[in-house]
Amino acid sequence: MNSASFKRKLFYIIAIVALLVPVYFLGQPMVYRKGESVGQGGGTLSKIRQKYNIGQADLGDIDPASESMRLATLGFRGFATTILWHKAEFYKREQFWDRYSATLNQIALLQPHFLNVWDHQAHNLTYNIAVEFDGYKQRYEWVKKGIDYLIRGTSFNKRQPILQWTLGIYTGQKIGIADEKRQYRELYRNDEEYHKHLIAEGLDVKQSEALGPDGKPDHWLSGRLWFLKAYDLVEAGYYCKKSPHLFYSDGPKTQMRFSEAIEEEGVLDDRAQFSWSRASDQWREFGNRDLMTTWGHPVKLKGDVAANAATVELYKQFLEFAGDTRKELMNKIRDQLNPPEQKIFDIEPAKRTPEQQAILGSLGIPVEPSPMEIAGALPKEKREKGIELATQLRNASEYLNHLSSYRQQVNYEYWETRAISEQHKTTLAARQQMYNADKLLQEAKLDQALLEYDKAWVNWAKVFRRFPTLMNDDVATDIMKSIRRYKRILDADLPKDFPLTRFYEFRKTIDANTPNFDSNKWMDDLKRAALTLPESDDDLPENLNDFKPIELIEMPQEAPPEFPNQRGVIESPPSPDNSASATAPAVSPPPTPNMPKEEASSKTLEPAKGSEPPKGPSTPVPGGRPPAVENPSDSLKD
Amino acid sequence: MRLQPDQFWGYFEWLFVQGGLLNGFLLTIALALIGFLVSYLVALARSGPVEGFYAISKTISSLFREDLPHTSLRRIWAIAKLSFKEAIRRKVLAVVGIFIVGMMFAGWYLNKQADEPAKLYMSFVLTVTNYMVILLGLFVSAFSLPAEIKSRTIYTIVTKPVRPTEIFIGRVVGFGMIGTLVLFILGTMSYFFVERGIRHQHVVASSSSDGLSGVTSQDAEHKHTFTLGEDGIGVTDEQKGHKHKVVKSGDKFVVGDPAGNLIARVPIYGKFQFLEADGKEGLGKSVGYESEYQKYIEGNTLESAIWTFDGVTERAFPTGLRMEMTLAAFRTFKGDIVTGVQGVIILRNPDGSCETERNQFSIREFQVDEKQFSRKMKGFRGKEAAELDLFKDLAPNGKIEVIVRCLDKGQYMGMAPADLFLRAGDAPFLWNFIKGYIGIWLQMMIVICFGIMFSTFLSGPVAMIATIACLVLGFFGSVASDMLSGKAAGGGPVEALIRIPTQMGVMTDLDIGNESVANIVKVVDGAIIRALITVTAALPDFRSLYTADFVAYGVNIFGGLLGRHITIAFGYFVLTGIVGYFFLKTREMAA
Repeated sequence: MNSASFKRKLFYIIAIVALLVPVYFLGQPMVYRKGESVGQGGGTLSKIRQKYNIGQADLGDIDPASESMRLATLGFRGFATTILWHKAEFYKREQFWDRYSATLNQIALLQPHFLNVWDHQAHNLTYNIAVEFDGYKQRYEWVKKGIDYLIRGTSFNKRQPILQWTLGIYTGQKIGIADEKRQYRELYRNDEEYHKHLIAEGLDVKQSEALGPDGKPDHWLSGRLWFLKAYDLVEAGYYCKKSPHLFYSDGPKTQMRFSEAIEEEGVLDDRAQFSWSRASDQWREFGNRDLMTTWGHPVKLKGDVAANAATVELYKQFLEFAGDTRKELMNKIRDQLNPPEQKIFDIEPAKRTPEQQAILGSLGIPVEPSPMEIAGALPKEKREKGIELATQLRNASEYLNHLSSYRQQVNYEYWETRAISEQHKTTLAARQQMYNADKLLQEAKLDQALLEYDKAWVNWAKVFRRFPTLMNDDVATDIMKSIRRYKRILDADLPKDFPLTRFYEFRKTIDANTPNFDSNKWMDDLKRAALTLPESDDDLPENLNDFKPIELIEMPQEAPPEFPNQRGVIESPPSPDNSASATAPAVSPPPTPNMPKEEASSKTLEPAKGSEPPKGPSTPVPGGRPPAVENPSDSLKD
Repeated sequence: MRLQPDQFWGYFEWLFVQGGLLNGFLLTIALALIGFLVSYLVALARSGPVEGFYAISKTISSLFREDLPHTSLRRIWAIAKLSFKEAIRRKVLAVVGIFIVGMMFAGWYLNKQADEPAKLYMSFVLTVTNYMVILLGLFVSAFSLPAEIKSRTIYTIVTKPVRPTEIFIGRVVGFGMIGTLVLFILGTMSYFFVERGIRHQHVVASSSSDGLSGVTSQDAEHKHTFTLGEDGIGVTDEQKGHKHKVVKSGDKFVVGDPAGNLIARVPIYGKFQFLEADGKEGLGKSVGYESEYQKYIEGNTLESAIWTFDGVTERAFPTGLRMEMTLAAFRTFKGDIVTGVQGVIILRNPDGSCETERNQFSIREFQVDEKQFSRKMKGFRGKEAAELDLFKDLAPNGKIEVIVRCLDKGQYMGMAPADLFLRAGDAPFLWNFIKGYIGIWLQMMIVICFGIMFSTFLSGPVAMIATIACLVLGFFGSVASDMLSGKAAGGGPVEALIRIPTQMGVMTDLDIGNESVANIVKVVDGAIIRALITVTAALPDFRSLYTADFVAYGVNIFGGLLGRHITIAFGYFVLTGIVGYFFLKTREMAA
């Protein structure tokens, strides 16, 4: 034998064996004893996989097609995926839909654990491709394709609640909020084969909780089942990259959307009532859930009343403790102002016009001492305790701010009120009458439609009186549409005794984004009045004519010349003495503890996890969407 | 499927009218001049100006005076057999094994829920076969000659009275034979794979009380509804690109095999033009899609799309005019969700003397919409209402105009020239399938020719890389034009080398801090891209030879197109043969 060749081969063998040793220690698989889910022994890689639960089997189903495709591409999986992605984009651009869909499947097989692929392309199929088809039945098929694509994603990624959550969104909203929702809902209800498919995929759409009033699966409720699956996963400890308050709000909101949908379709009996009752329960449960905030502490969205009361109480304690110190500080501030400014300063904050508030805000100095400033000005023997109380007050205020912000983001109060109000007989009657009227109108029975509308307006007047919050958002939009139809039938302006005149004016002002209307204040008055109403709706007036007329405020264009000492802009909170008057009586917000400016600034730099800094509540934005009335932090400032 | 207007050209139209012959001639002249110049420069360096010129002239004259006239078919056949055996020895038939394995697992990757699985299956087998035989041609052709030169077995051939032309042609034939054998096997397997993949059976799941309509069972991810005639015979609706025949005998229903998904329509395409609302010729409107394939006409206006067809005779359409369309809709608002965008079709005599009344239709997007016009139709002769005869009144000379308009105000209807055609019957699917494989075969043969040509003067690996470069340019050469025109964002290769490591987005201007350097980069890129475009122009456009889409989408491959492809392939065979000849002739081993 050629000795050089022999030596070379020998060297190769030794090198191979030498390399096998570290490979063995790195890659040795774990040994699983019968009945045990935790492996024993194993190499370094196996241990790391087990520690972080990132083994293939831990992530999701192992698909032979996917695994063989990944192996077949050797180390060029990313490269292959990129090429396929480009191909998919080409097919999409040129509208080769079957090929596009086939390419997406190949991408998914190559990158089964890359969530963005599933999410992005499922969205593409459901939202972007579906609309390219002119026939709604074809569109529906593509919506299903997108949903199916994502379902496949969940089987590959069993620990990713975000996919299940997204499925909830697609199944619910894509079908239920589309322009063709009536057709889509009908198709879904009768899509027996698809129901079987979903059941085979582990979503029992035929369970009683997912059935609509006709006993067939409803897509909103099917969507809710996906949300529940996502919630279960999070409860089991799997991370979801989604703000908890938004994540958990969608389940109950879906129940409400279902209730809305069946009402729109004319189911306005105890079935709708029952559905709203379930929605109300679910919303309450959501409100009682501890939701982690980006500031690192949990909040309960329903817990604002207690938190508000505690803060008010704390502030009262603080003021009592501080004695006259606050007044002295206020006087010092007053001394810095010129006579016209002092005149404004002396007005109670709640009674100041927006123009006056703007003038004070432009002064560049705080017009209200913060608790910390007050504490700092206390006599030496009281100062330590004062600072302690001020700190508690600041923490409580911050909590309320965070709570308020989260409540506003999910429109908590509106949905809470909506779910309760929709169970009322008057609301159901109003909806039934409006539905009847719309139907009669379609049948060109104008006189009968007018009669039904007239009945509906009276009932809506009662509903609004009891639940003024409903004068915002979806309900108001629906009613405004009906009022416009009513006007068209009349072929004239609304009659003087029209029961919803005030509501109509309010909506017109809001919809026109009129800046000089203080909708918060207007709404607060109504909410306050709602607390004193008799229990029975029969005893309520049949119109809203006693509501305060819509008054527009004169807005200053710029600061008048007689106030020359503008020293920059600062946030100017209302006086703590008067702030309560700007809020609803149901849950009086606390007086405004005003934090020193520098402390506020330093706080804004701190929020954890890259979140946005806490935003202090602003003064009511005239013309904007009225915030939740119970929101105590409307009058709070950082 | 996207048909381009040049694909409609007849063979002679392409050859003489559209410049096919002229282009080939110019290409030959250009390559001959370049070849002569390069050869002369080499000969000049070797033997001086006069002797060099003499050597080249002698080589050229030997081709025409000796080697070409005395090329022996017997010797070509002998070399072909040798090449065939050599390829077998090199285990090229393993490709068949790989293909079988691929098909065994293909079902994992093919989406059975696709709207038209037959197209998907057909595209898959044709594409895989295409790539496999091209690779096969590449490997067998690029390595064989250098391997023989290296192992000196070539001496046993060249010491015999074998001419270089015979070596080249013999190898092309030999490797062509093995490629053809493999292609035949793969083609046969593919046919049965597709046929088996789309075959399915339904039974009737429910029927109406009178038994004349019903719904089939859900199989292969779909079900059909059907309606029967009084005779108990009918067809189902079309689902996933096919229908089934349904026959009722007694109380039993028999649902037939799927029909319509493996077909070869024989389309007659027409001359196409848009008319603006004012009657002037237009270009159609863009509705904002990136793809410019289709253009749109506005609804509720006189904007029209007009196709003028030739060959509308009683013989071609004995049962009336059968038309198929794949029009698109674009809505500027949702409008009536349930009803599709509405359009009308008017058939008109090209001289304008007669036209039918408006035939209203709802658009069916992304599927073939069939329309049948009977021989007798209501219409207008001049301004008078009359019953019109298709062949006497509307198409007396075999010419007819088809006018399409959109009815819905604010909505648009989109079309391309190939989106409406007359269906003059069907060709046998199998023959169309074979024609598709002939397209693949032509590509393989061109690759073999190039591989052998390069292997006459390059080593095996280099010859393979050179052939791959030709393939890449042949498939993707148009990207160079896109880069130059700015359609492909991101600049040329040098610019890309800067953008990639610096993670600069392709849509931003090249910013490297120095405008002069950036300009130099652009100039260098421009030169490279222009060079690429020039080279690409001389290479075969492999994409145009790819006719698999015709087969997959059920359109008969036009004879003219096939003839054109054969001519192009033959042209490259001749071209590469001449280049190969000169290299073989001038190599040391052949001296």
